[in-house]
Amino acid sequence: MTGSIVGSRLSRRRFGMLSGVALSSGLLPARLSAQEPINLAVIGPMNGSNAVGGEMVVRASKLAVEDVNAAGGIHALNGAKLNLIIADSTDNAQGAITTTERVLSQQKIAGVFGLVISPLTAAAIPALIKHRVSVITASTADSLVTPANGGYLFMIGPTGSALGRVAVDFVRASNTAKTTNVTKAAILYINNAYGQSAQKGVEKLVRESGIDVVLNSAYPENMTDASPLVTKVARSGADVLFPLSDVTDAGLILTALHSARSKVLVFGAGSGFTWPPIGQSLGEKVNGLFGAAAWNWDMKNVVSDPKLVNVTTRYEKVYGGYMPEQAGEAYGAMWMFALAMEKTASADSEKLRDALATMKVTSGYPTIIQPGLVEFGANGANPNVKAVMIQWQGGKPRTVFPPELATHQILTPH
Amino acid sequence: MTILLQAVINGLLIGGVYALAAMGVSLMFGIMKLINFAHGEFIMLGMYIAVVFTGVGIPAGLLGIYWVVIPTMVVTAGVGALFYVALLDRAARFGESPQILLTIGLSIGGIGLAQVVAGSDFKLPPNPVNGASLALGDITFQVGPGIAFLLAVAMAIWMAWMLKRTRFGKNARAVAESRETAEMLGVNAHHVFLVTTTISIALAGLAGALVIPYHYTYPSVGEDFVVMAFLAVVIAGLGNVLGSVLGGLLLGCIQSLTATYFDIDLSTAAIYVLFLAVLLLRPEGLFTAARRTV
Amino acid sequence: MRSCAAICAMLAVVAAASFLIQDSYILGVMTVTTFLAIWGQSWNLLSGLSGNVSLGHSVFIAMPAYVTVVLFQTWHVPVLAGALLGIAAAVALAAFIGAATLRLSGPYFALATLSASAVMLSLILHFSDITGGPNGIPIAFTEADWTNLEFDHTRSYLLVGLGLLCVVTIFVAGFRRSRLGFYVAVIKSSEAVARAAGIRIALVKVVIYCMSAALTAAGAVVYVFYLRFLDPGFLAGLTLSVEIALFAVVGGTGFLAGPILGAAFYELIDVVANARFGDVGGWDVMVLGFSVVVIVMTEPRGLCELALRLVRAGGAPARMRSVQREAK
Repeated sequence: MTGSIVGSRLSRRRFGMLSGVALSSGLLPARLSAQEPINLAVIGPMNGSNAVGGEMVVRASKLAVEDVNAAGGIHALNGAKLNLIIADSTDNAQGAITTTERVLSQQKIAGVFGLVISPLTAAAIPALIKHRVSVITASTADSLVTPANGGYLFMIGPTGSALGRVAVDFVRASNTAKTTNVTKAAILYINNAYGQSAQKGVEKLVRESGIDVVLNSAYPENMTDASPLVTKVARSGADVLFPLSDVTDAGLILTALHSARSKVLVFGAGSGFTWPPIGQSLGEKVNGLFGAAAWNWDMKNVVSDPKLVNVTTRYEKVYGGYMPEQAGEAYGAMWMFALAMEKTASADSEKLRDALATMKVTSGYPTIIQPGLVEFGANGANPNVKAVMIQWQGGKPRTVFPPELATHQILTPH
Repeated sequence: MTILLQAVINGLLIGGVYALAAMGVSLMFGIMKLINFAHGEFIMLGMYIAVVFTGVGIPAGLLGIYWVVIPTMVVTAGVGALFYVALLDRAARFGESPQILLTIGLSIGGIGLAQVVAGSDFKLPPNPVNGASLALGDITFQVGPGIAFLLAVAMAIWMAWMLKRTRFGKNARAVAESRETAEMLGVNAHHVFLVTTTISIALAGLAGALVIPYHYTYPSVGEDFVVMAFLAVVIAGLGNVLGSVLGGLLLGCIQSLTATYFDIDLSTAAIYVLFLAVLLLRPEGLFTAARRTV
Repeated sequence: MRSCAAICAMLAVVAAASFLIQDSYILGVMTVTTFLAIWGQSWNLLSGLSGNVSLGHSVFIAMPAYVTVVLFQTWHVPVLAGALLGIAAAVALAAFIGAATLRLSGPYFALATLSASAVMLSLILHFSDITGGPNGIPIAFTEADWTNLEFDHTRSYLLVGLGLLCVVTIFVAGFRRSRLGFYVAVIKSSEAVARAAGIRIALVKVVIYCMSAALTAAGAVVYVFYLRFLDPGFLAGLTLSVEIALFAVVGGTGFLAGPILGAAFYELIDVVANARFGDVGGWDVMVLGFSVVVIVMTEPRGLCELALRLVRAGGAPARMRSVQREAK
């Protein structure tokens, strides 16, 4: 329409005026009107025992969105800015379903990051498929990266079984180096999607490495006292314990172990061992504790890039305390959405899904995800990412294993 | 053998808190014939109040955090008195059904209120009691639950003395037997009920304050304790206050033993099945002489 | 009967109006309200009319839901057949629990039903091979198939729900006028009189319990397909059981419209709280709980009674006269 008018009749000034009118009245195609913000949603538990998880991903998502907008927004869409929608999934599946449905039907969403905890992420999948919006998640349950996710889920971090595996690899390496001599292992896992998934990986590997599994026990999510579990561990004669836990249960298990003056070596996997609450509640006693993490603020790929160090330092300055596991993953994920929008010059959630499924990003902020590149393979899994072992030193989790990502030495086991 | 002993010790220590909670419920039922379904929420209230007090400061030393116990009990006692004056006094006139519903409503409303005011995240003020224990050979005694256990025993002794020896105790037992007769003899039943409620809720506050050093505080935490309390009270025999203490300790042991030797999921089911069995087969309770109270 | 007709007419209006609503969130809220109302109404049959306050009704929601879904997903039993089995299972469970516990008086019965509910949750979590444990069971949706209760539009579930609510309401209304309803009223006012009149109290109570269970189960089976997810924490939880009881009390146990009004009141609070306070949890539960306290203390007959008083005070003759029973 504009083409024929501009052709010969009007002077450039009049064209300018007309464009201005057309722009403000929405006559021009949407692609050229740069004012529409693009919605990205972050959904997670803002309450309950995993509230700290929701909090960290919201903080990191906010930071990422601010950074994208500060760098000029989405250039391919005329500098369109990102707008972050924050929603509370509550800490049960019911609430996750309702919230996701509500968020996706009340406004146009280009993509979602969430839902922090595996069972919640699983519950939200049908709604995501229905509305054709993809989710990038830092949840870890293996059952999430199956065809059941309809191609709409992308797991940016390692799976639960990979988390379990790194803990076992670590013990094996330690045995080989003769630093330890572990022969009997006990596994305690939280009875939810994460725990069940991590447990499978751990059990198999432990047996393969010639260590006996003398106890393999699930415990309920709402456990209030871990002393019977600890007594059970003592009874089994294990010399190493792999607890696979979320936040509160990790705290209960560790304090019960302290109370019982247990001499068992502990290699935890799960948010409970790497997120801030365990550092806060144990204080000095946390130092020396090992945990398997999906991401850590001081991995080699992060500290060797000043731009990424800037991100983690800024997070620490604004929010106090190191940038925790899922915060780093959320930051990388938000930038993945932004880059997908740049690539497709579109904010359409389906197109973004297709882009995410095929993109391979080796530069820019997504390199915050180890080992410094992000791509998604079959069923949305990330084939290149590896879990790491951290050890709490000086009140912060430091990366100590595997060697290609480690930046700190191991302090003698507690 | 060590394992067995340890499991029993763990059970007794945990049972101490159940016993404290059970005492409050049993007292109220024994004297006022009222099952307070909101008792757990008063424990929760005690916990939150105690946590607020810890915000003022925790003195150094292992037991420093326990300074909050007395102020918490004072506040919860006040709430208890208010509870009686504002609600229970009038509700006594209604039938059984409305009373049940009243305390249920209060219970659910209380949980919601805690969520709105304090949020649902789990609180535990960092303190040296958490994870601390005393060792005697191979057996360890957790400090937190241990102190709760000792206080439960102390309160039980005090309660026994109070009910048997003090004027109030005698009046209360008279009213429990027969309100009309007691009033005819000059006992002020309202006064008895007021004091009973205050003591019951103060016990809830005590339980809450004793538990915050090692147990997470969150809106529905009361449910974890009160269910055990109800079970203990019924298993012992409704109205049998001292029996309910034994009931609490027994349940703690059952929970600990089944969780240690079998499955932690089954321990809950086992207790409920025991509860139902007692309810159906010996409703007067295990520790009460065969006298139908139903 | 007049109030029953009025209620059904109103539900029909709501059903018609739903075609004008496109927002799936609002339709979702309406659907949830409808099913909560079905459960409140079924609960009222037992507890409001007979006086046995049940705090464990969620067993009749969880049990049939799991039976139907597990049969469907693992053994490919068509849902409608599975649903009938599920409802039968709920009735059997009611007969079992009822025979054992209905002879207990007030608070004891309440505690017993509460324990039954807790045992059910425990069992569901424990036998996780069959039930999926705490993670629940997602219901796979392949294509719209009404024989398998799989609709692709929320509105379809709403319409089925409204229809079911109508049926349940008519059933309860009819029940009150029936001989069984008469027996129940006599038992409630005095068991001694009932016994003297030759009424078989235990049998009557168990039959009511089974009826209540069946109606609750019917609602549960449909609702679970709307949710497309079996969450044991929600379905078998203590909170749901207590909430169902509270809807009926808040609305008014003596009124046919009571549980419906109570459920609507609760959902309204939830929606308003979400809109005003974002997702700060707890408002809905808090208002519900404290409303019960206020209602028990001031107008024990519930919101319906309050509404009636306003209508009468406004001078208009009371059009909806419902059969009133003391809420004691």
